[in-house]
Amino acid sequence: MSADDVTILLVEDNPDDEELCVRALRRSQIKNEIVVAHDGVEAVEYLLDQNAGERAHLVLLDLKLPRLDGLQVLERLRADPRTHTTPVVVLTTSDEQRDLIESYNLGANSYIRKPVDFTQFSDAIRAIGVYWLSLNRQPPGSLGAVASPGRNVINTG
Amino acid sequence: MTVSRALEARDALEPDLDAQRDGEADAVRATHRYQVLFHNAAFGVIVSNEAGRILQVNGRMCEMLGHTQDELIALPLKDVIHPDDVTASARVRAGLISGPQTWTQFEKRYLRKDGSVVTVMATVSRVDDLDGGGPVMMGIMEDVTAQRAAEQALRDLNRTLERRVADRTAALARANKEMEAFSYAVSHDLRAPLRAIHGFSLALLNEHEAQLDAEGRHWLTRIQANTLRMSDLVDALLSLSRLTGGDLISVPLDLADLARSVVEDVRQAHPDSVATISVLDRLPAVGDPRLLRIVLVNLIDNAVKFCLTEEHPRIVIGGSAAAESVHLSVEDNGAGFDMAYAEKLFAPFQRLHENTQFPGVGVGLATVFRIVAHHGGRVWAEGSPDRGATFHIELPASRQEPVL
Repeated sequence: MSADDVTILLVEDNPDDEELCVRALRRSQIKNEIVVAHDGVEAVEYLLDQNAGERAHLVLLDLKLPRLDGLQVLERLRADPRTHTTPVVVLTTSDEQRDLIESYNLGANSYIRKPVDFTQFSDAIRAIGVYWLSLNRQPPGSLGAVASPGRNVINTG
Repeated sequence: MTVSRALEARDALEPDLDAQRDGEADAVRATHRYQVLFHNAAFGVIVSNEAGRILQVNGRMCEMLGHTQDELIALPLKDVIHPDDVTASARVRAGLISGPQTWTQFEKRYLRKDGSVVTVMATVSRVDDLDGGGPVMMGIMEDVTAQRAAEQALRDLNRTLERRVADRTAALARANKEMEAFSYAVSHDLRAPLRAIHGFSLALLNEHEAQLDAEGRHWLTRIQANTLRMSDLVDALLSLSRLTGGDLISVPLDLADLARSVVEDVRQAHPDSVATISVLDRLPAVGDPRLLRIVLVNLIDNAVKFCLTEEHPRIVIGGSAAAESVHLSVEDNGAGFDMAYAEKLFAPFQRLHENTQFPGVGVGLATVFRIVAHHGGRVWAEGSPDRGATFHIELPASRQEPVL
């Protein structure tokens, strides 16, 4: 499984943030498939669906979401063996201590506060892509795994 | 007139009957003496028989119950005892009659003739073989109504006070929670649109540059700068609101030491500053080191910032410790301010200078004010335009409860 096979699940309810995030991903030359879930229920249903569950994923998770919020999504994903180790990057506006602490307590892999400055936001997205789609290695058998550092999908130039 | 005086007076009135006085006269005299003592005792005395009939009461007891002696002697004991205490009182009497205990003390209530309640501390003893009849009960009653009422009032007052404290605490907790929810909403909901404005205006600038003339590009740049400034304001407002949310730590510390460490940080933040900064040797104080550091960072950073345009910038950090309070001042010879606006200095988002001249968000001194007030201290400033400014803080010398 290569990095290209990883589907990015963007969990985001705000259409502006969705568009900006997709734009930032594409501008960072990240060509992976991007699936957008607009609330927590959609995200959980998608990831725990039989077919989607067979693919490798990187989850970019907003916290403030309708229906199930981000922390609840995280809790459900960690409770299921299929998504137990799926990399989840919390990508949120909040810089509340309790959100930060709670996210890590529930097993988030990373916590990024979305900057207002789009240039900084793009840089953050690029860094996320480089790290999780290229550098990071996941344990074998994990459905979130990138088995080997993939082909160079990131054009850092 | 006291009892003994009354007796002396009586003795003086009675003629000396010398040796002719017989035993009978002695007995009469003793009975009389006893009756005077009995009726003038400062405690209420009530004698009753086994059946609960009142045999004798003294003046004080009559006074306490608002009845005459004749009225009381005609009444069964249970008619003057508070209905709620009749059973307990009967139990005590029964206990004393069956022995072995011959006396006991307990609190009980009587009903006065007017229906009001008298609380007494009763010391009741069994007296056997009086007049050859069955045992009688002699009760000595101390009126403790006023005392109990005062105690009750105190208890009520304490309860009211406790309830009030609980109410206030709950209200405060609610206000804090609301504030927290508000901050949370502000942090999320105000930043998201700003991010969109910044992101989309940048997209316009980057991807449609060809269709924009110089003026169009300039305006977009202005939109971007303002978005970022707004974002800074939101962040500053949030950190100001969170500042004193936690518990205030109160430990002994040296403000001079803290100032020296802050001066180093501030110098790194302003590498272009050539200011001479002097700090006093030692200034022991008590307070929250994290918060007081924020105070010093703001004051010293301001001093350095407002001196940047001076040729010979000079900053003096001084102070003194007295028994009651600790005083610290930060004096600079920079841009200064007009004393007419002195009271605006410590309000959030108030700025006395153009942003381009001395950039800032305008919460620094509001932060200082808040932290110092939280410590139970005060802040003030002196200055004049172009002749520098001096900022003063005064903290209580010892530990204080946080001021909410």
